Amino acid sequence: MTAPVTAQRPARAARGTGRAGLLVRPALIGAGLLVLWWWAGSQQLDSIEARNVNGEVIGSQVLEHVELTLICTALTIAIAIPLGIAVSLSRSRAGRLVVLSLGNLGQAIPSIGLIVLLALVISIGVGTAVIALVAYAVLPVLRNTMVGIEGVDPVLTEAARGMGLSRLAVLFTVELPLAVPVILAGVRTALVLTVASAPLAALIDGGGLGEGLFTGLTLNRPVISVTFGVLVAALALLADWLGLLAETSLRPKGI
Amino acid sequence: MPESITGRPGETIELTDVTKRYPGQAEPAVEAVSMVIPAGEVVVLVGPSGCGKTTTMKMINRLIEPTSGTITIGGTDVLTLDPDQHRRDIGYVIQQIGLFPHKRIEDNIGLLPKRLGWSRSRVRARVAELLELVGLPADYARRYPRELSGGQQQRVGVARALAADPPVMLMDEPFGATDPITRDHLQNEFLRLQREVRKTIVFVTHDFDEALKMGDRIAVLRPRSVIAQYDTPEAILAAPADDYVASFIGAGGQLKKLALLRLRDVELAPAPRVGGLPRIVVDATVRDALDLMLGEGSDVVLVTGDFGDDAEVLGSLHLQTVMGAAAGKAGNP
Repeated sequence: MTAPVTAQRPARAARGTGRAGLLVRPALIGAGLLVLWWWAGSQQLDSIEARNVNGEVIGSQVLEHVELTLICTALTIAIAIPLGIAVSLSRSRAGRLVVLSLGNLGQAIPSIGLIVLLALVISIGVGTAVIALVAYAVLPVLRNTMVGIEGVDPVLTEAARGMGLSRLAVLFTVELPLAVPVILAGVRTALVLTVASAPLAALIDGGGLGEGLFTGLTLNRPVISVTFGVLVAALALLADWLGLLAETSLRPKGI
Repeated sequence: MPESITGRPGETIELTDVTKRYPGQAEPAVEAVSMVIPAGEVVVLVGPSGCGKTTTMKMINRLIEPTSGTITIGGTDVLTLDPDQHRRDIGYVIQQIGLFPHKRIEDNIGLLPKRLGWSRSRVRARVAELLELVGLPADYARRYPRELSGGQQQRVGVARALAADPPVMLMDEPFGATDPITRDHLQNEFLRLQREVRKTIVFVTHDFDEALKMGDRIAVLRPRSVIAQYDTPEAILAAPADDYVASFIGAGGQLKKLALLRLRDVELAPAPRVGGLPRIVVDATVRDALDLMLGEGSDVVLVTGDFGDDAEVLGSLHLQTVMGAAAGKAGNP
């Protein structure tokens, strides 16, 4: 009677290719952006295109996009990790079921539907966009926090309890440190999900790279939509890479 | 240093009518166990899998709460204590060892002392002292558990249990997961260590030979942890209470009895003035001596104070004496 739980696996990539492997990704992203810059520069831009594809507009939209992502991810972590810990600590099957079902629900609704629906219910604007994006990204972090804690070898918790550590001390000295790789894998997934879904915020006046993207689509200006589309993809890849870096450097030594 | 390894001596543990009943089960898991575990002794609980020996042990440190009955340590009713405080006074060693993989050896051993508020230098000194006590090099302190072999890890497990100098230790099949040679090593070292620390130790195993070797006393348990016999190894071998206990002893009971008897505890005859007799050290057991006699085809061996050809000869042992020892006459243990 438990909800199906499949957790994102922690990264192992850095193991196989060594530390140098971590440098391949940013090099590829940089090369992609260079190609984009060269291609956009070689196009004959009309006035609408020139108004959208220029450093100032791109810069401010990238900034908005990053801001939106950071706020959403911070909120996601602040909600999902404590909630996951609480559910794991309570050992309540019902609590686990409810929380995971809600998390699943948040993710099962298509993000575009969720954003528009919330805009109708609440109002348009950044706040609503944040709520929708957080609702969408909570599940992976929540699920991985629970799975990470529950995945700690019961022998270790028994040894810790047996030596006289309190339930809370066991959580902080044994369970959470050992769950870090799994939790971080969830955070990385949430981060990428948020970066990639954040363009939808523009639909309800939430700002970000979605503005340029949708402008290009509605006005049928491929130069604009391709430029902003590639930028979103590059940001998502970059976010994933940063997550990978965090996983590699924060993984506890000795395991 | 404020405390030495032998700081706190063992305390007496007393179980009175201790019962554990799980809800929804007709039979109790442990039924009305009463026993006194004398201070400073190793008491082995031995019995088949599922007989409740581990449950009985875990009720002493309250990882499992008894349904009824009382348990006292040094006269204090443990059920009146805060469970976490209570467990800090009891070393706990388990078969799977359970070292924390993300912590260095020094942090595994020093975890509890640190939480008890010991100063950094005192913890470091304690870790060094314990590593030496369990026979590990000092530089292992900086290693992670996965860098150690199974036997080395269990030594750290024992050191960790001793860290805060508890008067009582619980050991749940501590050497069960190691290969026979390592197990023999660990057992011998543990007995040596126990001679120094004199803790009260409750030791759980399903291996009767291990029980004979490790225990000052053995409690042979039936299902539901009912005590079939509780006595010294010698007394159990000499007079098993019933067929159940006898079935534990199994074949070779006489040889097992001889294995418990050290040559130093046997009356030796004066050494004959004959050359070329096989020699054996006084630390060996009568069984070792018998083995030597059979191997060398000699019905007498010389007992020496130490190894080597020029060691002092303390006396001689005759096959006749060995047979008497098996019958329970010659020994004065």
